[in-house]
Amino acid sequence: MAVSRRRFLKEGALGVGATALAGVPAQAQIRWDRMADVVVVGAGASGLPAAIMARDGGASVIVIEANHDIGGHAMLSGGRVPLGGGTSMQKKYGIVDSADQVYLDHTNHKDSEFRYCDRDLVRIWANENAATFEFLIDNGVKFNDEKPDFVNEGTVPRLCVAQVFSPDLNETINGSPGSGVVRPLEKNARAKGAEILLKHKMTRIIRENPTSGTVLGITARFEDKDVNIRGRKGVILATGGHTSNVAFRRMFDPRLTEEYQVAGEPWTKQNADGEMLAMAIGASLWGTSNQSNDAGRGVTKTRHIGVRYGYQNLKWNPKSPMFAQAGGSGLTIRSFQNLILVNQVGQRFWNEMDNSYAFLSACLGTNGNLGRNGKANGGGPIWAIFDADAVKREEWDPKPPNVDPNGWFFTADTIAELAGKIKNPYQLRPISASVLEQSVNKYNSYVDAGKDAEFGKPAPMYKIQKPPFYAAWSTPILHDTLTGLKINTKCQVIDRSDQVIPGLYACGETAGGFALHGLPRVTVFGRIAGREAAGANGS
Amino acid sequence: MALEEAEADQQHQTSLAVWDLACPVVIGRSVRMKVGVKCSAGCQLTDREIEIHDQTGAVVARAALGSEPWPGTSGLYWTELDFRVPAESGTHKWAVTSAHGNAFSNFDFITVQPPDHTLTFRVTEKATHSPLQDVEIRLDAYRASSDAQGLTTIELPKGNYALSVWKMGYEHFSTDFDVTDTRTIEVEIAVEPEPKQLYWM
Repeated sequence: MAVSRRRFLKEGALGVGATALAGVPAQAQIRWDRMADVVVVGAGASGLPAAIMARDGGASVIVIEANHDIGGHAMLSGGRVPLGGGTSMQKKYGIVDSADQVYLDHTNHKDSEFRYCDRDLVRIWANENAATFEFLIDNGVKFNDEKPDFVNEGTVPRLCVAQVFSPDLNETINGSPGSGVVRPLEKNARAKGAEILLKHKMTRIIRENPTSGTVLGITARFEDKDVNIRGRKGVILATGGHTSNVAFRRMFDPRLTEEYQVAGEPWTKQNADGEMLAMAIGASLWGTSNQSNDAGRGVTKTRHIGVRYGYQNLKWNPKSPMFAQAGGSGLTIRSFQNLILVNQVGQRFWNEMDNSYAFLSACLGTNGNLGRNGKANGGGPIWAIFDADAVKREEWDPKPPNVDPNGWFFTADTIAELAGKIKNPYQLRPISASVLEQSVNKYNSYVDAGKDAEFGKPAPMYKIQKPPFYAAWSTPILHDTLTGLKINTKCQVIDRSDQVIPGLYACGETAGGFALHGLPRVTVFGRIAGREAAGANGS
Repeated sequence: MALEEAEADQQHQTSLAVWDLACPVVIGRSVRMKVGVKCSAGCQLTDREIEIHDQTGAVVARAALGSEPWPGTSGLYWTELDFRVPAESGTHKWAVTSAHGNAFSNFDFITVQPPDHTLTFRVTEKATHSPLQDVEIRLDAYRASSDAQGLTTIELPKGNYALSVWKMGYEHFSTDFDVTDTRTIEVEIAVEPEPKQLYWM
């Protein structure tokens, strides 16, 4: 009996094993260790809805997750879910909304965050808003019973906030409301029969041919061995974006060199696994301008200083099981009047009070680096310099666990001594004591005069003069991945010839085309991907 | 001086801090400030001398460092000293030096003409009318901070100034202000609304 190509693949999938046959692609000789109709890669706020929807659609589901626990960055998020179009919460509070209005609010050409988005994707996202909100509730997510609020320049209140899952930090990791999204979804996914394999890191997407044919499954690394997992109907990439991958993120913005830390780390890393492995089999990127747009939350001003991970809405709890890796909670700045910011050569470079993107561009500027030594890109570390009076005014306790003295926070008796103490992996050269003294003296003279002659800080209030003195890491921190794989409205991944890659789906921050921050984007597209993959014809 | 001490004076990396210098200062008056000296080798600097030099390099004041490091520091020996400021108004860049370590540091101060008037400010919270402490009042280079009764005074010459009233957590208030006489000014400032939680993350 002749063995048809499709028959062989199916038998291979059943564990018949690898048998070299002339004319049969090498990928078809895979020995499949596990199989399911749908394989979801990533157990975050996109992968979990994908898994549940696929199960609801009757598909068997295996979810793999590289981390030792589920949740991804969403576990640490604020659990803020602005979905509209007529959700039950909107109706409860008498708010009238529609999918059309959601679409219009997220395609406004005046809004630079939405200007460069793929409007076909925004349209399907708008259509699925309300249904996704109900899906979250149906799958255990509890929202605060409050009137939805306005966000994202929307014309209609849509924002609802999830409740923290439990008081147990081992479950919530940092006590963030985002745990109230991902933990219930995890429990429902498991209850509905999705199998979740933790510590499985995808290393390969298996396609019939290197850049053609159907995607058959993936290879994941678990402990010291490779595991081949067949996805008969499809593989869904929900790996969470690329922000932690320095080489990848610099494709969109060469300034984003290694000194920029990432919100959500060290809990999980957005290391571009999905994007890179999909690109290796022919996938295209999409909406790449969104990533280097001077808007949005790709790059953010830090607010918790003196620690490595000072993202403004994420303060590490000393009781978190991840705190040892996080290193410190940070000193939360109430007013930038209490400090100056200096660059890698110890000079002020901008008005510290500015919260616009111009401030971030200044941080990412040359900052005294003439580029003579092959390291011209990146703005280098930014340090907050302040004194004992500032500590008193801010009511800070500048000691661990509030700060991380292992390279992110320094104390000294004089400004000159402080300059010599600043040592950090990203501080490539010592800060000159005389330069830092000049910077502080000059700023103090502006305080005396009541006017910042260099950078226009409004009415500079306080000298930096009373010992001891402090230097705290205040370098901008990266957050959103705003570009990724090209997908269509079914979340099917598109190749560089603009053709669908059969059997491959992407959602969440792995997918490009829509630069919307946070949970509303990733939950909606996760749900679409799961539904479409479950409904696909198997290979 | 012992030989070792003399060598330390030459070799040890030493730095200085200058603080609590009032600003502005009325021309010709005395002013007080604190100076601290830190030796990177951890030398005990009690009784070591520091000097204040004007812009010509002339010594205008000397003092010996005290026996206890400044609180919160690991070894900043300090002293407090008075000196008379110049009779000319303007910005002055002077220096403080330490024989130990041959260290020096610049400091700036502003001198102004004698005042014509005294302004008394009474600062209250807008909603409760209760006095507000630690409110920064500025009229260009002239500044003061309110006490527990919400009161403070500023002496200054007549003229037009940029008045700025600021306290962390309160709305910033600023306006042009003509100083024409001695009087009391009532200022109300409102609590700044808590910023709405950012949607980001």
